[in-house]
Amino acid sequence: MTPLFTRREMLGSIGGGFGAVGLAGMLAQEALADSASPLAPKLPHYAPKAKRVIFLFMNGGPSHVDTFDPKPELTRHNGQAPPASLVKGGQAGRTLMGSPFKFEKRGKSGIEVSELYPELSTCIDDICVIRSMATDIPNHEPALLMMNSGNIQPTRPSMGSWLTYGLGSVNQNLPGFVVLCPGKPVVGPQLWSNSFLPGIYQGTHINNRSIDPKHVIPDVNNSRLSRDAQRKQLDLLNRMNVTHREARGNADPMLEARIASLEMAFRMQFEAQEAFDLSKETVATRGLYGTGDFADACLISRRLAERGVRMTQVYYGNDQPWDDHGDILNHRNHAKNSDRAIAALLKDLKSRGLFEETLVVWGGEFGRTPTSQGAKGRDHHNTGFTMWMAGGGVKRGHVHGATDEMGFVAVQDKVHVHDLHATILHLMGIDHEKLTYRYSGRDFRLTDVHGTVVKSILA
Amino acid sequence: MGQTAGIGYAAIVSLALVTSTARAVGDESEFFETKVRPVLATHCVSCHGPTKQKAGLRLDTAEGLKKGGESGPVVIAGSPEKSRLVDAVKYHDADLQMPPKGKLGDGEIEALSRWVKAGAVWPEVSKSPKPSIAIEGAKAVGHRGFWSFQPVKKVEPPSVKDVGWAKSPIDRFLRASMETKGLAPSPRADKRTLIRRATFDLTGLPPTPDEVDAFLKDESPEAFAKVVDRLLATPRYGERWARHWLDLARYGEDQAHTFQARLFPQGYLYRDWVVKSLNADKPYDRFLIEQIAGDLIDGPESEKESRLAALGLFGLGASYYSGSPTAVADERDDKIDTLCRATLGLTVACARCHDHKFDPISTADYYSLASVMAGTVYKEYPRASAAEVAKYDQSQAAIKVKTDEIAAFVRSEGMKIPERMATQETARYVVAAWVLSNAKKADPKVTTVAIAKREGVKADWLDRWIAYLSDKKANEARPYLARWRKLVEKDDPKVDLSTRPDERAKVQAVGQALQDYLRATLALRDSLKAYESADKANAEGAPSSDRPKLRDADLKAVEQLASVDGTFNVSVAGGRAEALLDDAVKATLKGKRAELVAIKKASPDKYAVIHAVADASSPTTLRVHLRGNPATLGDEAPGRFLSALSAAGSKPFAKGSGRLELATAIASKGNPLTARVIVNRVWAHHFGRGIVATPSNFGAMGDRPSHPELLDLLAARLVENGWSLKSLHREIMLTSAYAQSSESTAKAREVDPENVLLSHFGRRRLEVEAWRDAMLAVTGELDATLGGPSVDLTSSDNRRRTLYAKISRHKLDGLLRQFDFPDPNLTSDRRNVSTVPLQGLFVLNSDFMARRAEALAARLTKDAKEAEDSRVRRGFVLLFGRPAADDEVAMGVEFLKSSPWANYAQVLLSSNEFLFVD
Repeated sequence: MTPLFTRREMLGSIGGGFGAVGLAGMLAQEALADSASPLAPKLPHYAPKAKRVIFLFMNGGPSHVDTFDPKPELTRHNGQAPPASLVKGGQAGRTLMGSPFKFEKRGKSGIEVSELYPELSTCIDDICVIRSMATDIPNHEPALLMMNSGNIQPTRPSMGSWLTYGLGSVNQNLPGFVVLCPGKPVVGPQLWSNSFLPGIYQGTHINNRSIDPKHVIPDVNNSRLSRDAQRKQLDLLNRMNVTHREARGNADPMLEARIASLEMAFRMQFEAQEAFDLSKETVATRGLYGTGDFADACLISRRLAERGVRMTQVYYGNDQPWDDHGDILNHRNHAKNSDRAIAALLKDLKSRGLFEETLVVWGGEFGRTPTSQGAKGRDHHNTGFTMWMAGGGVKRGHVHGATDEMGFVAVQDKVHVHDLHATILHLMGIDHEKLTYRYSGRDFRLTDVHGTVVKSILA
Repeated sequence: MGQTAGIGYAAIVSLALVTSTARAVGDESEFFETKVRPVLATHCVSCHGPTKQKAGLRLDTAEGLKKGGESGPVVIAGSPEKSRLVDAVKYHDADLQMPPKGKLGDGEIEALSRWVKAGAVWPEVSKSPKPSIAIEGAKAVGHRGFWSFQPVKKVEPPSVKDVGWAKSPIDRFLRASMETKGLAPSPRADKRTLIRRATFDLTGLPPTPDEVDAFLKDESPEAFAKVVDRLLATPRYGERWARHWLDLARYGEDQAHTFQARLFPQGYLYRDWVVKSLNADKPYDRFLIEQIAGDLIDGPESEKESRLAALGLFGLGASYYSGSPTAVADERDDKIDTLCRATLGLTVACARCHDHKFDPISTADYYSLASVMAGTVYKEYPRASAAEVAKYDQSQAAIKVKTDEIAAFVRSEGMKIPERMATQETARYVVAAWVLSNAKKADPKVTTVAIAKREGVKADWLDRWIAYLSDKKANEARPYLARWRKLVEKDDPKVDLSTRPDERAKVQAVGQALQDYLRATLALRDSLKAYESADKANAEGAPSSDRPKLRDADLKAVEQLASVDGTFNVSVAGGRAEALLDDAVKATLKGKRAELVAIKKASPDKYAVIHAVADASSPTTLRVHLRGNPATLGDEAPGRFLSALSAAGSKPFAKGSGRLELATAIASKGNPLTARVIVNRVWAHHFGRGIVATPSNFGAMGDRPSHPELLDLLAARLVENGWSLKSLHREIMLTSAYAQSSESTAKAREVDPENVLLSHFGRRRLEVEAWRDAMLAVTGELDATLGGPSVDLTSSDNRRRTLYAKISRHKLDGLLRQFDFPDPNLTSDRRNVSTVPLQGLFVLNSDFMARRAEALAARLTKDAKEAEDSRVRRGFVLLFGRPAADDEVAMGVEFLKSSPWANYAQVLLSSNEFLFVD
């Protein structure tokens, strides 16, 4: 009575495998495309350099002058009052504080990296360091929102949502935008919000404090039914839904789309769990990344990259760990927890041939003051800080821009967050001025009315 | 309701192009991704894409490819030799060589050719070309000329041929426009379909089998009118329609940010006010006035709380993180944007930075409304007696006193820690530092953490000690480090001494000496302090100038080794200081904490409040913010209504903030937008599509009305009927158009694919609220309690209607977000309808579905003697409002032979028939 079974039998004979999987594949391709699946891959504006983004988010705000932006002048004037011209209100009365960490030229490029990153510095020839970042507000919440959504209020879609809206996702069995954090960063879900974009573009937040593949995605696992029992249930459901559709003249793509999406959900249960299952990795690979939440998240990000997830964001830790007001020496711990894993990720992507098409972004919501706060700490700093990118389409072993000699203000080739967003979109094949969504009677963009692609860092 | 409305994607994969087998589809899709798409994107799209379409051809969408160019199709699926695209890239024909700048690489040509041969599969969906926006905007033609700003005109409905069908004026308008396109309406829906449609429409719940039966039996001509009246009279109506309004009001009970966010635990009072107002059929003009200015209008004292609760429209608005200078302006903007889009269908907020590009709204207009909002402040009105409020305030004050006391105590005791450590632990750290530096000689990889652990010290303090002790230059000026210097000077940089007990003992002695020195120095400092104050007291404030002092070196030692910023640095505010306090102090602290707990326990919970607004102590007149920047100011913009909707020469608002005057201007018969906008919203919820398809934008960038005269008729009727929304529902629902079947003809689908002319009823998927509520209803579990505080939707025993779920702007419930519930940070006029596998996971696996399935199974199998087929039949009636066909029963019975009832019940609940309404 149902053509479904005919097709299924046909598929079974062609594919020779598990009929239902083939069925799902076919239904998925046809019906979801028919119904304009919002996640189907879409054509970029021009040939993309990168197919996906891995954003390593050092939440809390890592200090630029202690990591990738060496400032010998700052050290020389340690303890002195900062030049009045460089200092804004909040830092008045504070004194300059040289970095307690040593910088050294690394790699063929000779880019200076602080001792905090012994492993990562071996990859410096693959990295494009931007030493002239700037954002609007030196407070966590607005700065986190700016870095993630291009706006300081929680009323705009996040970059990951824009990317999946603009490009769809290659793998329909996984969310197009995944956010990993052991716990939750400050602000929380608005950082991966779809806002006014359709709900499907929301980031899927996974607390990777303890990764259990059965629970990474809501309801991805059925604890009551065996696979066979569930298959049987779904077969009956399909028959009822096909009968229902046929009684309505087979003319409504919404009905077919839902039939297909249920089939895909069935398959997704197994594929999604597999994607997050680190036990599938070899001992050697796991050793490369090291241990800890962040290392695990980096490794998962590579597994997701392989599976076509459009954007994976890895928050370094719960809350805002890099926020070292009290003692900048704590940066040592954060670096130690992440150095090896970041280096491993870059090397692993390279060895698998994924590096050229994956854009890795590193940075926090802002930098930290060149002056000291208390005796040993540093405060929030927005007028000049460092981020870096590597992989898909950016120059290798390259430094872009500079802050002044003390590290206060981006004075050369300033890159505002909007510019960074425009550049990331560009690398993904999107013209940031053309990726728009009509809402509230106007076309919104990630970059609002701002943003210039930083052409000089493109490879 | 537009499938993925507003996204602008067209379904574009043409099955005609896909000629390959299913297995190949996946491969071809991959091939397209990696080999074809980049070629098209890089070499073709700049001339055949969104900006230019040379020869009428677009190669950035499958639609464009399928359509071809001016000379016809460019690709014949399966036949590269017949495809002009392949010809062109191969440069076969001297007149047709693409791309013109230079021939593609062989690999690229081969890829295109192979792709066409395999069926030219284009596996993605792409953005459809935007509707061309011919901007003859309101601004351009002058506002009197733009349709939505013109007065509402009542026009006699046209005469139609099909008088039997088109009895009501509404139907005559609709039938006439169908006739112009040669379309005929669909037949009348059967009674089961009709009652299911009407019941979901008005109440968000399915009809019960008894209700269906009663309707079937009632053969009077008024049978359906009676159903509509019955439904409008149930309180379920208000619950259903309140949610439509709450989408517009971006109703939420907290804020998106976390730091010092303002929360609204009694926000539900506003939600309940909306439900009650709709159930009472409060005139729509009054409904608006109360929400804008409920605190400023007269009315019975007994309804005062209700009028204040109405102010939740503003009171529950966004309060943003205050760290930015524009936050206050952003908060005003939220109110203006929400208000103007919801009530007027105007995007006034576009005029924040510049005059509206398309509509007659200036920045002066915007800042006039902003002045009204600036003169309005958030206010919590207590729902408690003055005595209760006072009692609460007192206990809060007491809590603050005790909390401050504890903090001060921890701080002052914490300050002592470094000194205590210096006098007790110095030797241990000196030894550990020595051990570490020696151990590194043997093994450079040895870590601070490892040695710290072995030596029983803390790693970060050890880091500091090493930095301190290894600063050779500074050490020369530290007389108390002479022994240490001597000791390490002799060290061989290659020999690890840390394993030698004799060497260790020497270091231990040096460390102990340093520790003793610090202890003595601190003791001396304290006794000198005591001496100093005694001397001062004795000499009546005129101390002797030659009082004994510590040496500078001693002071430095204390500062570097025994202060909070020194080697034993400690952040006194943090929990770490607490852990280091000595036992007696810890006990005192514990006592103080217990006192605080007792005070807190004894103090009453915060009294309930109404989250609302009030006029500020004095009105505010803002200046225009040039380019939206609060720092660059233009002319004053006193509070007043939009100039395009005001009579010439009208004066600024004069009373307080001007809110009441604003409310009156919006809720006015003379204002053509207010009535048009609300009738269009009601229409859109009934038919799935508005007469204006952009319900919150009646400006130039919005859609034009499909039936402008019908819209005006409805608007006029609303006002004539005393702004009664229930009357409006009746007029709409008792039409022939509403009673049509949802079956469409091929002709209708071709001539009018979006069903703008309503020649059939639009099938709809239930919103998440109605779907969840319907499941609880058919399983018999629904808790029908009306109103009250919100309940967490994730709570497994939550059987309330979904309307009563907690609505968080910070973290919207996962089920709601997954199923297209709008972001409560922003006003929303339409729900997206997305269909994705993640939703399927909820259907297949969620605890919620499993519980409903069990409950439904229990309900249908209560009678142990009942035959299986009879149970199945009852299930169909209960869920779908229709009897099951015999083969459907057979399918169910067969399934139940080998599967438990709950599995079957889940299938019924998961079915499309249950989720969609015809």
